[in-house]
Amino acid sequence: MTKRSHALQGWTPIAVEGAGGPTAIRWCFTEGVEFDDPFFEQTIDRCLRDPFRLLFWRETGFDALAEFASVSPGLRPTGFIFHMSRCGSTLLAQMFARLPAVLVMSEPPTVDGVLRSGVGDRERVDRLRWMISALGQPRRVEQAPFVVKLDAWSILDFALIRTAFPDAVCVFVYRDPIEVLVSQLARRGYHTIPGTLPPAWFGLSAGEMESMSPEHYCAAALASLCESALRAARANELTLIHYRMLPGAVSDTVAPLFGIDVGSAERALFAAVAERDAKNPVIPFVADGVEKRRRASPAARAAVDARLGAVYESLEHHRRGDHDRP
Amino acid sequence: MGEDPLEELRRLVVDDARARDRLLSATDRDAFVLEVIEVGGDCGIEVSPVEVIEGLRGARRRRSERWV
Repeated sequence: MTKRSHALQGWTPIAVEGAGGPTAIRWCFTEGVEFDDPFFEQTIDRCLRDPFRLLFWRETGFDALAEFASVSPGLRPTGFIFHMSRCGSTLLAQMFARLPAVLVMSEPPTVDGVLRSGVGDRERVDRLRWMISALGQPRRVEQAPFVVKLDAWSILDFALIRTAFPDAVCVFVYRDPIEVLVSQLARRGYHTIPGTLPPAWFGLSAGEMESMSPEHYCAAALASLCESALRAARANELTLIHYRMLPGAVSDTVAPLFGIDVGSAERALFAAVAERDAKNPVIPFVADGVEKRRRASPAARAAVDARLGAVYESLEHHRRGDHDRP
Repeated sequence: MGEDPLEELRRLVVDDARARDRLLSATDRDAFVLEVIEVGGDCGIEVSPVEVIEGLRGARRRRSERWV
């Protein structure tokens, strides 16, 4: 489909507002802005330091989003990065974001806004396609591969995302659960704060959620993510990437899956990214797995044993099986 | 009651590439405020510096309160 001019060209949806009532999409003028920060929200914050981009926003409904998708379809997503959080997924996204030919959107909140927009699945599939189309507007003419890193809890909507984009390749990044849990307990992610997401998503009642220790709540949330990933992997719809496979697996496994050509120049860029902390590139990367395991409390270890150990072993078993195949 | 002049201007400017380019070329906040007033004048909309500055503050506040 060829592109025609549209009033929303140069604009990016940055928020879906009004959950529970009439929804509105907030747009920011992002022409000339590269989405190369570790997270989408950081790029938007950088963008909004410009007074024009801050003051002159747009607001539309989903009808305008649908029209924009038909008039100016964005790049089709070639890869989705799912993850259990604190597991190297930001590094993966950052390595691809360094390549000028690849468009990367890292945890755009508008995707989560669509997934939680409280309408039926068919409507959510349409809205997701339109939203990804708006996010997939190329920033450079040479951009073709389009990679979307999703929020950790988006794996719970894997089937719906798959329905919307059956041709995209999906990977799930995970890590030794005690290391993830120690990181979450030190600084909670959105999904590991009780009450931010419906407890039923993690197989819990409200009463169970309120009575659980922090260790067990975090472990239950992470276990739900891993269980969803395991189901998708067993259905051969998702490739498992363990933290310890990084950064090598980016060029050797994930890039070929996503259709991204990697030569010596790309490998050099990847190596430079891997030397820095993915979430805060001004500081160098320091391997912290040993330290995290050392800091794990008996309560954290017990929660992992009770809730996460089995699903983690199943992920590992499945992944090793993948690799052992001729 | 008439529409807030800044809101009226916003609706016009988001669809006007020339006005957008003028405003994007402002080198700092003071220059931006003056440019908004000029663009408003060209569109027949009178906007005061205080309204522009308050508009910027409101937009910043709305952004920072998005998780609340």
